[in-house]
Amino acid sequence: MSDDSKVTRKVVLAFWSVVLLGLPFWWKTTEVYRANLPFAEIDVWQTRQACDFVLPTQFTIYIPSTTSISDLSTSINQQLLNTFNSKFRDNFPIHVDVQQWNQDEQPEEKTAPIGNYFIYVSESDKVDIHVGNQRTSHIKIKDMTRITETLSTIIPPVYLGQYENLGNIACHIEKKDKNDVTSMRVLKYSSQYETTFSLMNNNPENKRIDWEIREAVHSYLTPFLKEVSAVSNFTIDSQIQNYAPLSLKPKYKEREGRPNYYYFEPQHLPHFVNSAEWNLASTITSYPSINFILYVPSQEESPLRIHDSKDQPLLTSAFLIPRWGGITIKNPPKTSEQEYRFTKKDLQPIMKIFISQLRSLIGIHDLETNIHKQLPSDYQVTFEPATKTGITVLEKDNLIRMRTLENVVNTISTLKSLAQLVDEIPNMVVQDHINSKVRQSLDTLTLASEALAKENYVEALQRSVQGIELAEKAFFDPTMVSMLYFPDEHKYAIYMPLFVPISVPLVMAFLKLVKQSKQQKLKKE
Amino acid sequence: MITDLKKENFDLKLRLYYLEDMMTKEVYQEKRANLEHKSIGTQTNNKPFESTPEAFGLASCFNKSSQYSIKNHSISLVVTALENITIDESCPSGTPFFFFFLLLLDKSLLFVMARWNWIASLLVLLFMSVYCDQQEKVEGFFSQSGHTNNWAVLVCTSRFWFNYRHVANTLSMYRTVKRLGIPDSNIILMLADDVSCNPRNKYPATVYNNANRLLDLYGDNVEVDYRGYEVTVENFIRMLTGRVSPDTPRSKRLLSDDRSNILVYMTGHGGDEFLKFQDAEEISAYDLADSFKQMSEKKRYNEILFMIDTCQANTMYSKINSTNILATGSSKLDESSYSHHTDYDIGVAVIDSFTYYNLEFLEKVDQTSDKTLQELFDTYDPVKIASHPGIRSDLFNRPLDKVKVTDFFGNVQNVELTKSRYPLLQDDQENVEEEEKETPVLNNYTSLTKPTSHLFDSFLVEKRSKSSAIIGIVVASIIGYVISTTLS
Repeated sequence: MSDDSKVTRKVVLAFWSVVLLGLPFWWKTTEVYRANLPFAEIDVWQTRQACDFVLPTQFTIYIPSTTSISDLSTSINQQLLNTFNSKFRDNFPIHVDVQQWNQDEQPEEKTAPIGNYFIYVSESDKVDIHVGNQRTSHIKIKDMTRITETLSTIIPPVYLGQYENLGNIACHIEKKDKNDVTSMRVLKYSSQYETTFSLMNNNPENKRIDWEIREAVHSYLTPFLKEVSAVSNFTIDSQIQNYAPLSLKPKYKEREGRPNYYYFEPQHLPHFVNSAEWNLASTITSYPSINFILYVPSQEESPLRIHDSKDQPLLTSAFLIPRWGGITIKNPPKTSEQEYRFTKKDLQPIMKIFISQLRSLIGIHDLETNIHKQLPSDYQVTFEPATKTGITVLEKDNLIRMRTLENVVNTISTLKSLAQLVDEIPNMVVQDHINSKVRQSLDTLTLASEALAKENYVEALQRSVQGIELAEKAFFDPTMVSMLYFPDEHKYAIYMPLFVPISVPLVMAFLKLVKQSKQQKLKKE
Repeated sequence: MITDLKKENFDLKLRLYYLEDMMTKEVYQEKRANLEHKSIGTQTNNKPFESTPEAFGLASCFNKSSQYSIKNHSISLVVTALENITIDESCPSGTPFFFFFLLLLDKSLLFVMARWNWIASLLVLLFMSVYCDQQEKVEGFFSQSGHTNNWAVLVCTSRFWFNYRHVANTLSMYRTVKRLGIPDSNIILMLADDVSCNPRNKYPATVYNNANRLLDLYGDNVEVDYRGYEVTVENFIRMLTGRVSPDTPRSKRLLSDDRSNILVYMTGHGGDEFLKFQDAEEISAYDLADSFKQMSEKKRYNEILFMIDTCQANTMYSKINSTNILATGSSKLDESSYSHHTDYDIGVAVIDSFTYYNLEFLEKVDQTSDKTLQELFDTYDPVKIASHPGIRSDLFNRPLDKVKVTDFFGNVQNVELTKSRYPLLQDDQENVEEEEKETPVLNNYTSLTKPTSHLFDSFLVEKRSKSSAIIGIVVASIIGYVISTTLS
């Protein structure tokens, strides 16, 4: 009897040992593979470090040799910092260097890395500020003894005007205003944009229209794009579409003594772009596309103009659709020829409009708006426009700074969303390559902020672009789809028919074994 | 116009015939009996959301203000003026004066209300002055919803010939959305089966949604992005969350951004918190809520309108918890959605009730129309639709009578007028070029902004500096105080 019971005991124990040994194997093999993401580091970036950026600026001020420059540098520095009334003062260290120059000479253009500005001061009978399109500007002030006060009222609005905004972006203090015009208009950052120039001809039966767009783009737009290529690349294509009808009819205006014309009011303009019939979509790239349309109305509806809200016709006959592109209306010349060709010279005013629209779409902040309200009224400010390239150096600096900070903030928020997602869905598979992308992205963030501190803005921008691309690739990786809804009831339903029939006899046998051994022990005692 | 009348006439005759036919049948009598019972049963206090008047949008959104001012016309004027303020963009300097004007109008005996009014106006002005600070001067045309582009995701999940009506539903919505302006590149159309080329289709290469067969939905210019067996739950979720494989063509991707309004329309066979895809798999309400949550995290939408026409449809949106999503379904828990009518020549039902009545409203909408979603939801009649449609608006931030139908179904883009050209010169033209830059006009625009009945304004936005707003507030408060003390 005891032999049998010993064999029974060994058999039951053998079964149980298989079960117990197999349990960890089963657990491990049915586990979802999750790589270790650096959650703590992401948290740190989210809460603190983005706000710890440093954007240094350096001013070199040239004072005429007639006045003394003893301790002027420190006093200007001090005064600037005092007037630069911002809670982000530590993030924008300003360094002022004062030198002398001869007032009769012309201020010379200097090249320097981003963040350095040269200001030439001379004496005159009224205050006049001439900001050049490169790094130098010429300021004429009345009273040389009050130079520090005057400079500290002039410099912040002109050079440091965007810093408040940048600080808000970096420290996540954004105005939650959905209808803010600027944020609605500016395209989201992408390292590549596809620009399409379209010539829409309403009625080619009257006139066939062609344009020398390739030459026009080459002479007018390419310098601009070359300058902006530090921030994003642009590919350009063009098309001509004939029989491009409008979806609504313009209104007719009669004037005495002057020719009558057709016009659109601002509330009709949203329906101007006839998306159904104009083929504007690109099937080539997934990068954001910017469309510029030159619309030529038919003879029956020309001349066609646009009225503004005060019922005056616009000089430019152009309007911009935020985050989409721009449209210009050009009326066909009233010749009886069957063909008309827009020469490069004809296209120049049109390209000027397109460039001003493209500037606002990319996010170039126009310095001239609102500057008059921030300075005393007797100060004259002129901003010299960049006639060759279309973007002044100051605007380009601002654009680079803004995009760098935006990219850093977006990278952090993408990584944070990724971490949250992985955390909330315990079923989600996290592969190794995602882990490596996340870590690389965090590394580029560190490098970017280091580069910013060293005034190496271009490298900081490139690092921030790398960071955001890596973070987006990691977040939108095709393997990041969570397994479909798999609640606990389903798990029970799957495993119960497998395990319950086996476990019932095992458990019963084990209990019997325990009872037997207890009885035996009692017997022995 | 005449064809519309003819259509309607035929449609009515057909419906009459159908109704007479059905009335004699027991099924219909049972259905009516069921509905009546349900309506009695839902008169209790703890009724589910779907059967409250709010679900049908029948109650007004301004119930709270009715306690103040129903009797006094001028008080109601002030209250509506307060509510009509758009605090976000237009900060006209004339509004303080507008308030004095209204206060002066209010020469009634309710001077207590006058005092409350000027305190409220004071608070509003303070609020406005804080917000109106750093605004650029822009002239143009803007809608109030903050979106710049529209997308539409239209999904038909059922296959086989007898589900003809689901394909017809989806194609009708496709046609509506295209008619109102959304381009093909922004529409993702998923059809699980091809009924137009089905060998059982008596009218091949056509899909009709009405028994009078006047409108072919499958004509030219239909672009189906996901077809047949590509319509799976996995593809749907991948498309919504953006996790498509790198070789997916652009037409199959949802390239929305944080300022896109998306219309998501799904139809097929469904049940309690699930929707059947292709007779083989299901998507649950949790999956859908999860996808929306991921879209919300990655800021892939501004607002979503989720419309679903299946049996027990309202359960599908019950698990959504991300903000700015408005959902509407055709029937509530334990209730089926019914088809509208059958075409006896084709042999199957051609359209579902809920979609039919939606289309009836939407056919009267065009690109320039001002109709609001509240008006659409007001037309939902549970007796006509034969089920109880539900609306879930608790996650949606804007009041429904301020949301235009074209905010979701159309593509009305904002517009900014360009006033100046950038002064570019070419090399050989340095001296000859005339200066064409027109400097923006900086004079103050101080006329009153009238409270328009439109939901949008074309206006001139100016920068307001803090000091003038403060002066405005101080003067407003002084005059308000003087008026209230003299009246009391």
